[in-house]
Amino acid sequence: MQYISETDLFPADFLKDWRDNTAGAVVLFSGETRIDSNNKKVDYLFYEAHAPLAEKYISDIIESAKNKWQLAFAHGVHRIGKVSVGECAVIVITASKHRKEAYAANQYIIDRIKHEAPIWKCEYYTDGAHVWGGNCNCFEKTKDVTKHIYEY
Amino acid sequence: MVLQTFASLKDILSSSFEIPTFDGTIKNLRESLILKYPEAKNLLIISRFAVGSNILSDESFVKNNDAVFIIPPSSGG
Repeated sequence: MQYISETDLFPADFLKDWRDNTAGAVVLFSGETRIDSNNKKVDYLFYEAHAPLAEKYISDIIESAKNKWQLAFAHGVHRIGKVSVGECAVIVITASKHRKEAYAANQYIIDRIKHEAPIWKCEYYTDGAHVWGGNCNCFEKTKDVTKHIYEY
Repeated sequence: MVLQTFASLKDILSSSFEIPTFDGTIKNLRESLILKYPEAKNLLIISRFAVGSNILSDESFVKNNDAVFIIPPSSGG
């Protein structure tokens, strides 16, 4: 299974490819590049990763979610490289018998990916500036770089 | 020892750099890097360290021939 992609991601492909007749609920999250950030016009985002470690993190997170909610399936893929405005940077798809578990698991997976997976975003603006940003800052409260405060 | 960095740390330390012979714990390594590169202190104190695809605790021991990755806080999604 591949969790890091150097090529474009298309949500419709995931909905087509990931099917399971035991699932009554399928939830798909698509994180996409929006046109404004920090009061500036965004040109594109550039993602880099420690790919082997990021693959391991995402795989472990998905396995954890599958066990926690007894999912029919779950998968997540994060882009690296240039992701233009309107394009997809990350997809998480989850399926379960009922919607509650699929929603909860999906939020759990994307939240943990954002906090833990060694993936970094650089925002490139139309004025030519760029900034690495949006770093997890849980350390300020937990005082431990491996402990995070999640939203799920 | 060869160290590799990512993202904003790359802009300060370069993506790959070498320090003189080092054998010791991650805690010691972090402290020696902060002394040598005070301009990177704010990021070094909140970064994780890895060898290969294993994240190391502060008590973990690294040898001079280990290729160490410095992992700044994540910003994916």
